[in-house]
Amino acid sequence: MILNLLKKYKWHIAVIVGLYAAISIWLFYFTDSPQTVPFEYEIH
Amino acid sequence: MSLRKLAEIAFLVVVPLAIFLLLTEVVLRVYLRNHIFYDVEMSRYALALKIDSPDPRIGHHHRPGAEARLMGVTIRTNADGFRDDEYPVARTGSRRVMFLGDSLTLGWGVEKEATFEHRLEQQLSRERPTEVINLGVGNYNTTQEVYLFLEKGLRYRPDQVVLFYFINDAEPVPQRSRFPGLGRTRVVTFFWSRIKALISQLSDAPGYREFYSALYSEDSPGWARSRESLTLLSEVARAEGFDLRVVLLPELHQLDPYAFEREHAMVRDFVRALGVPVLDLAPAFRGEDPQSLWVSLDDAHPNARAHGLIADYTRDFLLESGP
Repeated sequence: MILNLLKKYKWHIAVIVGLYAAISIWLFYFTDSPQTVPFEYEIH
Repeated sequence: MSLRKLAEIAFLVVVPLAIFLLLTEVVLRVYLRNHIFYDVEMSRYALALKIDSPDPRIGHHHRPGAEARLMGVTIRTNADGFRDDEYPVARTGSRRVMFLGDSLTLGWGVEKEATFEHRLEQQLSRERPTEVINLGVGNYNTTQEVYLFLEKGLRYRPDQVVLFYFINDAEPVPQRSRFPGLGRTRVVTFFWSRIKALISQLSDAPGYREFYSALYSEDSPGWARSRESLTLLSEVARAEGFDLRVVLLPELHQLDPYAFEREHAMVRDFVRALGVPVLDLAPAFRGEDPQSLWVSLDDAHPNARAHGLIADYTRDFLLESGP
């Protein structure tokens, strides 16, 4: 069933992944600026 | 709507997202072989070198005997978890100085030989043999610095202890992440970091300036705890007979006029009232181009040149007294 869905919606999937990628590239360049937020610390 | 239709919609939501996240993780890992993201490096730092402390006042400390390459430089920790050589606990006859601080004192993004700790050890040793032991740990506040010293540093019986104070030392003790595994993925760290930056750019959310200033409001619990810890350290210094000094490190966004003059004055006044000598380095950095002192565009930690300036401006202050 999954293979059938992949075949049926392959172009839908490609377009959605492309859209996500475009948004990510925009986010990457738009926020590629000098640090403006305080140092942020994640303790794992 | 039929069950089959619902399944197809769910499929179209989940599958493209999974494919996208997987591809982005691969692309980021390849990209980061030759590039550095500060937030990714901080996550890697937490995973590679930090461990929980049983003492909640310390929160975390460094894994002993560990090594990681972070921000393009190697950080090695000794048997006590300090980014330093091994020193015997017993005194050796050299003058012994301990540096307390956070990631700036640790030398984040700077080779060990270029840190102000190493430079000062070299410079002070020209006057007389001196061991400088670096207790700097990333993300520490004053309370953590003082309690780490009490737990691991005091037994080295230093002649002099220097606390390098930074504007964010009045932050509360950082909490453990609720989702520690996410730090292992580059894609989650990347989007967490960039969405945070986007919100900061587009909204009225407080920037670094408002955030740090708010730490010093009258009702700020972090500043109150910093004062308690400084008081405790000054009492220990008197009881144990070592020379205690405080150096205020500048925040490197705006140096002329300095963005945190009011906050530095508060710290200076408080430390002086304790009878502890204090040196504020912010005036010495006036006239410097701030970004020329940064580790990278997305990381305002002091770079090697800034570490050199810190060492040069601090040297005489450390020689003013003590055996």
